[in-house]
Amino acid sequence: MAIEKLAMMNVVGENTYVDDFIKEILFMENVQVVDAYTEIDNFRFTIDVTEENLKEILGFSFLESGMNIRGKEDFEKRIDLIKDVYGDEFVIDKRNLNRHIDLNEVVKSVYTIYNSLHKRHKVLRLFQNDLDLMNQSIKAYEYLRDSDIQMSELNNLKYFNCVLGSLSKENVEKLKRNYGNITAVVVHVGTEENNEVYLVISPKDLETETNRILRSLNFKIIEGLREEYDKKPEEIIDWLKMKRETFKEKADTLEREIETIKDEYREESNFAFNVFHLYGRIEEIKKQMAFSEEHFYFSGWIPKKMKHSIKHKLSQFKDIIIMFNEDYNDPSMKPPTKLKNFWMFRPFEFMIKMYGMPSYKEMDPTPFFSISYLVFFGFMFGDIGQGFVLLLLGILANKKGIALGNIIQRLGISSMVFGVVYGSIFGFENLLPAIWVKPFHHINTILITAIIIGVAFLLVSYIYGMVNSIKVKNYSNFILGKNGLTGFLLYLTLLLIVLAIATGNRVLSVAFLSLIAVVAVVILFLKESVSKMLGFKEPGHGEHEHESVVEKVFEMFEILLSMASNTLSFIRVGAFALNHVGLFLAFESLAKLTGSGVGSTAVYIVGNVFIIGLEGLIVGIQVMRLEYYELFSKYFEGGGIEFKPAKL
Amino acid sequence: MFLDTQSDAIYSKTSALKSKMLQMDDYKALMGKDNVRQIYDYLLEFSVYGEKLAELRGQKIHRGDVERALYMHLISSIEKILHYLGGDYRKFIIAYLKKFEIEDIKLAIESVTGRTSITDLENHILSTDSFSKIDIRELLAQETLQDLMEKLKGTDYYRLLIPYTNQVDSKFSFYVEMILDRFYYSQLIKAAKKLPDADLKGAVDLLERNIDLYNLEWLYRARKFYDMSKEEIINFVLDSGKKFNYFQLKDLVYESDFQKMIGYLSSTDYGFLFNHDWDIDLYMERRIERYLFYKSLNLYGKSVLDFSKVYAFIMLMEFEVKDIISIIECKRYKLPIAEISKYLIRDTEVVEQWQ
Repeated sequence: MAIEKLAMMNVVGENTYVDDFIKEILFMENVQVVDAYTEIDNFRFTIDVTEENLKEILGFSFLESGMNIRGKEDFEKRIDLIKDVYGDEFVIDKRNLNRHIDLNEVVKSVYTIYNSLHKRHKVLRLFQNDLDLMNQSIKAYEYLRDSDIQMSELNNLKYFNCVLGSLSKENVEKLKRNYGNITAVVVHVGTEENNEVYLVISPKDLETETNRILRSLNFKIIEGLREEYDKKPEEIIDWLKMKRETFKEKADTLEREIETIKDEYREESNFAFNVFHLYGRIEEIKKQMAFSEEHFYFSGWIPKKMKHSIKHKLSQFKDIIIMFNEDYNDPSMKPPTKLKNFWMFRPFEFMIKMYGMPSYKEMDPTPFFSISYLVFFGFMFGDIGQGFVLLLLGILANKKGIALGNIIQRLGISSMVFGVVYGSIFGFENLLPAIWVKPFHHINTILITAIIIGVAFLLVSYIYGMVNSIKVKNYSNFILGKNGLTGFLLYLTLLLIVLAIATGNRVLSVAFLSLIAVVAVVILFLKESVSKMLGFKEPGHGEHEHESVVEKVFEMFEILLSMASNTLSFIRVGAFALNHVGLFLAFESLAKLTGSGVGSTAVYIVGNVFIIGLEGLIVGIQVMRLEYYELFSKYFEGGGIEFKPAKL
Repeated sequence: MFLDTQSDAIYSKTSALKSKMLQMDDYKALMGKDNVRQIYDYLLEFSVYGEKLAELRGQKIHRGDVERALYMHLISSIEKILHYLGGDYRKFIIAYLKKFEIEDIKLAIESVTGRTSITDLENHILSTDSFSKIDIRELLAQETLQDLMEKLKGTDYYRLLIPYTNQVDSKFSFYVEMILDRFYYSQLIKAAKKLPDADLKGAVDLLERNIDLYNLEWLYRARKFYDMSKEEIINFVLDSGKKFNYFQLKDLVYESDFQKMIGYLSSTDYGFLFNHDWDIDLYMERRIERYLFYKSLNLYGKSVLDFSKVYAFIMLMEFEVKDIISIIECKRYKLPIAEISKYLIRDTEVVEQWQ
């Protein structure tokens, strides 16, 4: 339940088995590849100087970065070939690749499949092309169907041309206005969408003139009239339709044939698809490796606890050298962050990442975040029935692949737990007894409890902040910072003072507490000087050194103010708990007003839907706000990089 | 009525933009510069164009880049006005802005048919999301005209251009140009006619005169330079002119020969285009623009709180950009100041005396 420890793994192996090695890495799904060339360049990739490592060490001087490797284009092209035939039918699956792979064999098989299909595809396309032409002709002759003329008469005109085409309405107008000067006979034969279709018969001698006029009128020629068809339009259409049927049949047969071939080779192609994908990935990984004549050099982050199993798996390769480096004091080495949490909390990692990835050296905030989120949400939205609905919605969303679904499920459970505490089901407060209190009857209790819970969580987040300061060795912040020990003490004493004044319940005398508070304020004010006096190194060195006194006064003011405001912020937790009941009361009175049983049931249902949808959303957002603003500001640094292992 | 809809806001906006336009002194200063760089520096420092021009800072200044920056300023100014308009007024201004989209499409077509030598086409795109739904970048990325048309499917442009695409010959660009320009004006006048009369009298008048001039220029050029039949010529004429409707133009084409036509036109309102002994061709475009410029100026001054004022102002802004570009071009050919003023839309004769 924390941020997992990582180790840097450096490997030197022989080029003969580099592909198999990378395949192994990809199948592990636990190695984040790092550019080996940079590692070597920065002297972080070191090999023990022994006799047997001589060759590998010598290789360093002839090293070349894998960047120049051609990459995965070749394999992508081959994948496209398969996709050409099968579309997006195949998915990548590790299980397909567990057997021995002979790349050459696979490439050959793909080309055989493709060749046998390619020819048939070509013929099919020809058929389809013919079909298109026939459809075109049928459409064109349809316009002339009623004319009852022998097409041969039009086709064989010696001195006249004949074209079919369409004009837009406004151009028809133009044509009409200038009929007198047009060198053609123009016959209206039908309409096509918004355009009018005309048959234009013009003297061959005036062909150019006519064509120019037609072009200037935006005349769109309708193709499909053919010289060789010389019967009557109606007969031509019938004949074409018949021909179309036979062609269709032929095309269908061919298509079925193609399907059979596809079925036959489906298995093989699927394998090839996976193989090509794998090799594409391998080439990609190679870009991040370094190569000498005989050896390859590989670096990557691995989870520390998997060190032995990984080493065991990789030792199958001959003469492989595997080294682990767990020394993170090198500031230029920035390990990625791998979060590892208990299943109950895991979905909340999503919300943490939304804010920022924790850095490798920080404490994982997920458990604390999850617990506080669940408590706040349940406190505000406690209801057995509505919580149950949320649980169901969450499960449903999860099934649909929505990441938030997991969180909603857990919120539903929390809501149900608090529902039991309040004795509330679907908004009705009277059906069940409360284990603790009914929020609306004990308003003050609810509000004060909310603040107490808030303060408790705030104190925990102070502790988190201090632990984080120690972890990054920032002792100045740990002892003197506003989120460190001094800030923590100041907050605590202020709380005690308020408590003492409000309740008269004095643990320590107010004067003494005030003294501590004043000292804390002074320390915060003079943080830089005190820090220097105590000899702390400031890692962020000296950003604030030149802050003016005025700025510091304001900073102090801000610190004190935010302590108060952060604390009071938690009143909202109580307020929403009341609001939740109040909102339902409104619907309840509406339901009573309607009087009829059906009507009020409807109002109750609508009310519940409304409360779950709208209030559930608002409460969810309010909690997020409390988390991100009030709590994270105390301890969360962020700026980490997510651990992303190489996968297939 | 236009007056009811946020009219105060738009007049304040128009007046604010108007006050930032170049003054005669600015033109004089620009004409006195030695090269494009100096003009750029002047505009950067002293004019409202500075904001867009600043994006070019630190680069080698190319004429084309400056031109685009000027046009981008024009477009963004019109877009600012657009914010204050709704309904048919908005549609009209968008119809006006379509000219930039059309120019971009022409450019894309030229690029795929290999008729342009411009290489950094992406930097010439003027269309913006506010008036264009066409992804010009995507058009430019196409390899063939067929691919490009495929991308235009569903737009008016597709319908208009498709009849011409299966025969890409020497006249193809001519048809593209003519068809798209005619389409632009017909859409613009269609949008204008939807506006309430009272508001747009001046603007429609200006637009109709614009169409007159466009038609006359077309008749003149077509008959003088192109080998075209009368039917073709008349088919490319735009409807909705002010002084010349379709039938009058048709009569002009069919009834009189070229000389007779010029003689007749010289005696009309638009005589200023033709009653010169020489240089009719050279200055025709400029004379048209100068005419429209003074009409716009007049309309701007005369209109009180109606939409015509906005339209006139947009015209004025465009003429300003055109004049700056003319000055830049003249500087590139190293013309003397007196010569430059001949190519400007506005009358800067003063400059010659002042010099």
